Amino acid sequence: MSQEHQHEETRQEGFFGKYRKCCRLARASSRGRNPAWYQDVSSLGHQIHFYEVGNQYFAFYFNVSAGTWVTVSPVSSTADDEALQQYLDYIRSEVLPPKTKSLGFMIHLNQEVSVFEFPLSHWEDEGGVAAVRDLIHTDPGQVLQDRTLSADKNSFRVYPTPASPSVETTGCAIATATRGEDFLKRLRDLGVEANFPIRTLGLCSPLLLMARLPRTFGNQDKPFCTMLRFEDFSFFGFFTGAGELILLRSVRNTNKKLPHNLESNLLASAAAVEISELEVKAFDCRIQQEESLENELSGILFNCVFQTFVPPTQSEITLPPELSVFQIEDSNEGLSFSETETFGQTIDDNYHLQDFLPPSSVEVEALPSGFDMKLFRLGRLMKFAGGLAVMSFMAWTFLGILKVRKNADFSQEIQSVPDIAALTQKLGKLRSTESYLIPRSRAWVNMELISQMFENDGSVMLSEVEHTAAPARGGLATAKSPIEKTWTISGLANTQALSRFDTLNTQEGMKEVFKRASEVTNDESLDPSPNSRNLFIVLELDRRSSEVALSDGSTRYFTHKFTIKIRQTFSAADKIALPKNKI
Amino acid sequence: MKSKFKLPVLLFGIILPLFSFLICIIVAKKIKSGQVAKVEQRSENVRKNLEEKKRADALQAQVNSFDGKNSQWEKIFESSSYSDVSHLVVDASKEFNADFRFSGEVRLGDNASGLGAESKQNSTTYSMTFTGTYQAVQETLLRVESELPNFVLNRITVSPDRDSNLLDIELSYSAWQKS
Repeated sequence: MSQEHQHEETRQEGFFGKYRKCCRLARASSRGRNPAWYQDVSSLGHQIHFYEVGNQYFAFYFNVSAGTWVTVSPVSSTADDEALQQYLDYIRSEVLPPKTKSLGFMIHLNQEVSVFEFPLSHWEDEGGVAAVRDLIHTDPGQVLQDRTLSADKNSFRVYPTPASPSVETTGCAIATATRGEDFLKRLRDLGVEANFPIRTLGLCSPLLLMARLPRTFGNQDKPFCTMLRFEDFSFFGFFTGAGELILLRSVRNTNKKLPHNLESNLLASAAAVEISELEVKAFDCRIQQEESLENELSGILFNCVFQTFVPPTQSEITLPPELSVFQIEDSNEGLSFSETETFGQTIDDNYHLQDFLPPSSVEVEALPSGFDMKLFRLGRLMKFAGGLAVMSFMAWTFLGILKVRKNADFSQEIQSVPDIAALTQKLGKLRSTESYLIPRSRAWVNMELISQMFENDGSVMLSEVEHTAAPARGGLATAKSPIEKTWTISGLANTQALSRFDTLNTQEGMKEVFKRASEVTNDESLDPSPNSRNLFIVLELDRRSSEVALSDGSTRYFTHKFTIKIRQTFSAADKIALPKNKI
Repeated sequence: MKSKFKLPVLLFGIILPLFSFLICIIVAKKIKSGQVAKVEQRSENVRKNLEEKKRADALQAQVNSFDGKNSQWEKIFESSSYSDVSHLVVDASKEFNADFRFSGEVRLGDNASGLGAESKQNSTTYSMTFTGTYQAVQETLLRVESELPNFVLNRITVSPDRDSNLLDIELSYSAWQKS
């Protein structure tokens, strides 16, 4: 699929389309489960390393866990898709162990490497080398201040030179050809089609070697230059005696031979970084040599001390130098210059393992990242857990509703209730009627009261009795009206009755009379005991002798004339208080 | 490089599902609270219904306790006409012919005096005069007043009769009438 087509498809996917793509990938591929889709090649357990010779890639299989190298069939750098598919099938079926779940392809770029310097001071405010590390991928012209440079044909990366005299103002950049980019992309596409994670890396051979070989020299007491002799160019690294990188240089060979002016170039570069005595430690990185490196150097280096070295190897097969050093562990304490920034921080930041042939931004953007897939899986897990929780909650809610509806009251029928207001009204009317009809003031009861007041022994003769019952004052704000009753009893009495008057002239005495009359008549209106009733007595007793002729012809003698005035009040709260309402 | 999948995954994979879950929970809670409120309302209605039934039954029982009395009272209120009262007095005093004399003076007065004037309930004033012995009058009145509980005494005077050994008794009643 062309990049333009891929880009157009990605653009048209839309917001929801991208999510659906994640769903599809999670369902149809192992991207959600196999982290190898997003791992660096160097962290994968199975790697195929390509070493370009002519138009072929020599291939070596590296089993990381076993630490073993195996030579495998080479592949043409111009192989078509079908040939590449066959090659991949061959690798998976015959080279890799069964059930291998990922594979890394690594091209060691050793055909063409250029070194640039750039004005680092322009980027100081943005963070120096680290700031331009990403920018140089896409816009090398801006970083290197040379608009003729483009990321289309070459791949540019920054590399720190901590001991450069002008390290504060000058940065160092490396460029390689992008040849091999399409080759790796087609391998990745085949991996996608086969649902088999294939990760790729374009390694710059000189950088990898320069990051490891100088550490095999042991401690140095003066500056030195490491030379890497490749087929078409030579790569130089100038180091301080302490092992800090001062300068990188790349010199093209002439017809695969070292240029005659190499020594003057080297001396000029050494002088520029104030190295007076140049000692060259050279490695021959070619696979096939027409002439030994030592002979070549002895023919062109006259004022420089040089030594040739063979890269250390632990492999049983013959490997290109960059592959033989590939498995050197940077953290090995036996290696020199561990304390330097060049072989410390720079290595920790993986400057030497930078990918010079990375997937294009279009390719990367077309698929979700590892973080996206993790987020997607998290979302799926959350949906599952959340769905379960919501279902449980809804079930609990439903059960709760059932439980609540089982409430005895809920199923109980509403019974018809007689009209309470009507009943109340009826009851009120009945009570009101009853209230009007209770014995309140009756004549025969009062006559009995008078009878109870005096002894029937002839000591008293009544001349007139008057009794009234009338509303009393003070019932305006109450439902019932207070009542006041009065009795005025006049008559004659003899001395025999005087003690009786003494009794009647007291509250207790008179109340006793009322009480007895109440009991005899069974009329509660006479009962003096309720607090709502008060009794007042006034006795007027005059000594006045008189004789009264009786109907039988006899006469009776009386010594006193008397008048008893009794007033009894019933408050509005009294039982016999007068109702005012209409029934 | 900023991933173009992060936001869609966040939105459709996490935020929207969470939002839907939230909606589901809110809806479920709403339904439950609605149901609970309905049940509570129903329970409250049933409780009120029971209370009202209880109250109505109690009221009905109280009303029933007046069974019989009410119709009797109705008659009493309706039977307080002049002739009714006169006949009643005459009947009640029959056995006291010797020492009792009913003057026949049952007078209807206005309703604006005595205890009857204090109430909004309709009433009529009756005035009566008897002549007789104390006992005869008292017993006659006992019978009359027992038959006419709607009669409430406003005034009674007892004084010797000028022409005999009997007593003159004047009475004034307020008689509650039907509204």
